[in-house]
Amino acid sequence: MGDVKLPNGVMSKAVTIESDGEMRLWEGIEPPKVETKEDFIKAVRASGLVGLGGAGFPTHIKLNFPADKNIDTLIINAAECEPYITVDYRECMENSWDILSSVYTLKDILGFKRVVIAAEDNKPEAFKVLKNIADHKDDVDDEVQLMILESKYPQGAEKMMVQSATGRRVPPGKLPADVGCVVLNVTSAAFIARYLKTGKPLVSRSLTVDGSAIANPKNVRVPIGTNISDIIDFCGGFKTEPCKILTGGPMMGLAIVGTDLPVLKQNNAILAFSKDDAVLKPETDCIRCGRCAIACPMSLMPTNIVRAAKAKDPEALKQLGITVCMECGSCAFACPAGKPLVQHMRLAKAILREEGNK
Amino acid sequence: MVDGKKLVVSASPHLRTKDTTQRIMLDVVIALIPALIAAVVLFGPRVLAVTATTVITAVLSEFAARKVMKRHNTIQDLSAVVTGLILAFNLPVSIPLWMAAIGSFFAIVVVKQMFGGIGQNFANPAIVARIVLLLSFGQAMGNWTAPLSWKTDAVSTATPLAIIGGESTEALPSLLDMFLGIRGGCIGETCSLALIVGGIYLMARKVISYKIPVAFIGTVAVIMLIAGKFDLEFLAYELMGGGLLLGAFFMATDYSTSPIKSNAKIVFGVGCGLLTCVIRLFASLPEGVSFAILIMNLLVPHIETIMAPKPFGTVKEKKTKEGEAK
Ligand code: SF4
Ligand code: SF4
Repeated sequence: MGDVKLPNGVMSKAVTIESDGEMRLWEGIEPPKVETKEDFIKAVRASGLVGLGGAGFPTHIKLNFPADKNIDTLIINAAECEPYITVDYRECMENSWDILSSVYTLKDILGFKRVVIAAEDNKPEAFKVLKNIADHKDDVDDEVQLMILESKYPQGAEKMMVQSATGRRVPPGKLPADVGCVVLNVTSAAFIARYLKTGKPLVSRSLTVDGSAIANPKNVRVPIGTNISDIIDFCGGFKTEPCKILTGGPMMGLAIVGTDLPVLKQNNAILAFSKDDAVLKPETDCIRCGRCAIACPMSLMPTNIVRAAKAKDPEALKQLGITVCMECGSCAFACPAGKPLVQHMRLAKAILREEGNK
Repeated sequence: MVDGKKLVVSASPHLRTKDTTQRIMLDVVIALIPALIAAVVLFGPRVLAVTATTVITAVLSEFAARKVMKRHNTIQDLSAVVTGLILAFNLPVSIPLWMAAIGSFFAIVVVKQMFGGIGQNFANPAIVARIVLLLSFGQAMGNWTAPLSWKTDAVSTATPLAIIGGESTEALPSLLDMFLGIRGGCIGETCSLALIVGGIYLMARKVISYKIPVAFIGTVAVIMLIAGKFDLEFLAYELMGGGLLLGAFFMATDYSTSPIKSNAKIVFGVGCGLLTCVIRLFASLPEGVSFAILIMNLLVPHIETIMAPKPFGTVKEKKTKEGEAK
């Protein structure tokens, strides 16, 4: 038992487990008994599952929606959440049985009328696998459908997903559940099936190790809590001196200050970049080119939000809809002036929050 | 182990587009080059002297203004070069160089830098400078040199729109001459061919969207078609005459002074077209483009407020709000 620093810099209590090198399952592990919805939710909770796509939201809370919410659609999100990351793709290719069984279990136990499996158009093999799932013979009324999405960041974001799959738009400040949808990442779904079969909780996960500074980029399955430097060593170490290391994807991931940190449940990637890719271009003045507004999937006007935030004008910020910003980074990516727009968006939200606290 | 001190820690996203302001402005400069070459052929080497004067003055003024205001230097973003070029394109070739220099200084210092520099100015610097020069030195600004006469003695001429307007009895240039730019006018506005090539380049490079130029030129076309009683020849002169193409492709699309969102861009373009026609048809000024763009520049903040986009998922709240107000 001791203090461990997490990738976001927070200290946390943690138990250090010494490995006996055998990696056996404990005899007491057995599949949970699931007959009712309550059992199921309890089981998911006991498994320790969180959204494996990166958000880390506890899955049992997501699935434990009240009956009066009229949730009719389950969306299985097989669209990779960010560039570079390929864990969801591997999951589709290798664990299609788990996905299949999970889809039908969830549908039966939680009573979804429709299941949409959403995949991106740049993964034809995954598409074939998922197509088989959707066309499975148990699906007599064709309630499980496959949907192909244009592969375009941030397609994997929940709100985008809900809109593409059902045409429903999640209002600002609301969740997909408010428009009758639950979005579940494929890897999370596959895990549920595995857990119901074996009872082995979430103690390991797969993640993508990539980036220009990694010697042998690959996907690895690691016990949660593994030290990041061990994982990098396993992938051949660095081939050039790393200048920036991220946990998570390049658009929303967190830059870390060292590699002596543990992998968390929601980490879906470790990326290390050499100098050429890591150094951001210098920031210059905003030229009002509007590219940030074109890029924003939420139809916001980031440059105007920056102005309102500078003026500390909470009223204008509210008008501009800052609360729907999901910090996806599309605007900052597109900005020719190299503005750190996401930072500005966070600042703007902070201003609004402060105003609310008054 | 990795030495943490050497790692760069910055906020997400960690990927950025390779585009820069400088690259965008360079594209604008490239797009203006065909028209510059055409101008040299049409109006002679003096074009280069005028252009060099405005560009150099613009860059030096920007440098000095930033120094005096103790702000970081911005001349490397090339926006001053663009302003200088566009201003030169809006001057007659015979203009005394010192006037061109004053215009350029005014554009950069008063219109652009005093309002905070790139992205902050509310009116197009080159347009304001042109109008100021027009008001102060009307004579020199209205002295049109006949095209292709520079090898002999410069002959003065009238602009096609002035001829149509009945202010001159000279023969109109043929439509082909209009297209190639063999007519009286400002340095960079006469060669329709070169301007269209430049405009297409900018759209292909995604530097500008087609919305403002199409809305602008389209509106002028529709109104002039009706005003000319469906006389296609009249229409063609109106579209290729004056500074319409230069204005629609290069001046109305200026980032700082046009709206960001697409529907607001269309409104802006239509407004520019409407005002151009009103000025050309009803006011005594045949060239309404500069004034039209200037007026619309001033309206941009209002257009943007009225047409603000709905953030994702927002339902229309207007009715309830009005209800509350009552
Ligand atoms: S993309 Fe950057 S430069 Fe362009 S308007 Fe937005 S903030 Fe300004
Ligand atoms: S980060 Fe930028 S692009 Fe993404 S939602 Fe927020 S404002 Fe829009």
